[in-house]
Amino acid sequence: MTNYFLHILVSGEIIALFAMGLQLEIGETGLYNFGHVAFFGIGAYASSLLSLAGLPFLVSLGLALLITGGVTWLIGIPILRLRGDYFGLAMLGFGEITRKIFLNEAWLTKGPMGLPGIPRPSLFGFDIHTLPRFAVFYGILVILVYLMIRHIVRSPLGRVFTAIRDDELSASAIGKNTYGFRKVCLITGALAAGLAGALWAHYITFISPSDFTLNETILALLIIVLGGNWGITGALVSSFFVIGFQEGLRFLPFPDTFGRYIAPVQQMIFGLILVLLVLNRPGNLIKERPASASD
Amino acid sequence: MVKKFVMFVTVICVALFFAGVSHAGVVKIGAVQPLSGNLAVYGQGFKMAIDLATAEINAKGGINGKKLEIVYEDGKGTAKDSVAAVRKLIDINKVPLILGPAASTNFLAVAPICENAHVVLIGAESASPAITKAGAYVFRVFPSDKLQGKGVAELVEKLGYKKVPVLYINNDWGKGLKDVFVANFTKKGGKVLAEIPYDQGKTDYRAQLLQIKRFNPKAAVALVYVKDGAVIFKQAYELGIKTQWIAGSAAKSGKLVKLAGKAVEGLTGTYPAFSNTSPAYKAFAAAWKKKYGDKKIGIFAEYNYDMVHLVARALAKGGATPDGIRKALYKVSKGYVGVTGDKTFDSNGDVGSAYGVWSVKDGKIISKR
Repeated sequence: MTNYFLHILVSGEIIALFAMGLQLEIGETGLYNFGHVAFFGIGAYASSLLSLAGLPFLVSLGLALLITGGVTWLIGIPILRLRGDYFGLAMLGFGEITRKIFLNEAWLTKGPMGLPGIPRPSLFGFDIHTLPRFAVFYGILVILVYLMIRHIVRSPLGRVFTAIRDDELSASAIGKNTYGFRKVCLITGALAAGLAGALWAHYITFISPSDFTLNETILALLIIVLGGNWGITGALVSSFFVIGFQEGLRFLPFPDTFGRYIAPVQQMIFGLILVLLVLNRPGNLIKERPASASD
Repeated sequence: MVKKFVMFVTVICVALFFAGVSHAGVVKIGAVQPLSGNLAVYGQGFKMAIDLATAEINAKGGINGKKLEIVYEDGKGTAKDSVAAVRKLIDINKVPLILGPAASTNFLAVAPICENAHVVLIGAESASPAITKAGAYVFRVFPSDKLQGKGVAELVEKLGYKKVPVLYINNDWGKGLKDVFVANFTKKGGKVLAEIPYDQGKTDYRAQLLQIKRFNPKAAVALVYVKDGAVIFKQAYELGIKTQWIAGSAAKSGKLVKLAGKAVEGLTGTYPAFSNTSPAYKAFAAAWKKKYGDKKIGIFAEYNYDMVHLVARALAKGGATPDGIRKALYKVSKGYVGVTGDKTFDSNGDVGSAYGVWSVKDGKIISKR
């Protein structure tokens, strides 16, 4: 019984890393990144391919993060010149392009067949092969990333991010290089997503391009909207809530004939929650409580 | 909000409590099927076939007097949800055997989990050649694409064509089949002019077809599904490509003929053949009709039906433990002829298959064994 709950916990931890990256981009800096899943995929594929080539886990994870960061830096050059919805659309396209690359560059990624037999993590000879170890190791990483992002948000850098989100023109008027700051933010968010992707790949041990669709980005969007005003903490908590809710549905005694409607109903409930949140508390994504009430 | 959350948790705990209660005199096995999501159309058919076989087994006294019960979990047609479903079946329901998810990518994602947990995983729809090496606890009653790829190569050779381009759907099925075909066809001395992948669900395949037209080939292999196949053959007809199209099993459907009309006249292909005049098939078709009336027999229903009957025999012989089932599966499958033919497992847990040839003549599909 415990293994199943540990699996939900590990899934929640991976999604939490993914969503916290998006929270930093959208929630704190106003970068509407609808292609967040691309970084998740790049991290997953890079780390898997490197460790399948025989590199130790920590080396391939490190290189995968370098690759994710490098790719983000490169695509940031043209895409970060765009603003608002244009940026969102370009990122949406980038997400799809990345998936197509995974699908079509079969010499590298084995295309639609996917990559089986990805090695499980091992730290200096200490194997992480059982669920409790996965939960603890990934949990530590989640806490580290959480503390890092929280630190960023509360630092002067975070205040520049907030300034860019609330009024980019004013931010640049007081001498802030908004292009550079937005790039820092995008790369940090991408690194969190790349880490999540690599951890996902080493946990499941099999990945294929169909794991990296727009649906994952939408799930993360839902999570950060649910997290609302609580910022990065909200994203962390609601990740576990959403994953728990999805899995919890398995235990509700739905009649057999109703079975095929569960997933659509779940999507509808999520959609409804989104609409209600936006209607009742407009500005969740964009404005913050006044500074006096802040943490 | 807090109140609602507490209520939610309570409901889950109560449900968990009841889920844990097991009844004496019941043998439980798990099934992960795409009951919702984009494969749900197929999932319902698989479930109907599994239910039919289960009802028959229980009517005949079950497993040594105990009732066979299937615990269904929804894999939603994605790797992520299939993995969660398998974890739940193993840890909460503690089943010794799981009827695996459809689509090879989902099947391959859950295979290592079953292998590590020493739980038997058996599939009725997954054709990827990679599954052959997925592990000692992994079985399937569906033939590997390796066999079908060979079948297509033999058919092309038999029809006397030496040089063909290959057009294939860019997913695990299409690419796996294409690879095996190319390897076998070149080995026989044939030449593959071009390998052209295409993406599923588009409305325009002229770019790919023009590549084929350039070669002006006498014959061309098209490993396509029904919907995109219809678009492809229609557009090929419009472009004036006059060639003998040769397809795989996935295009063998009356719907293709209905959608593409005369554009597919003369189309031919291979399919994993089993006799639909054998006594076993007739009994199956009659039982289906009795339980479900005029509902059409779903795709791969025959394989699911055979799978459950085989599993029931293994449970009766080896007991309800994974290792017992695993060993018994080899024994009971030896010489077992089900609806879909001989189901003897080889040492990798794969089955063989005969391949037949189908073709379209006067708007009707004609199958030959």
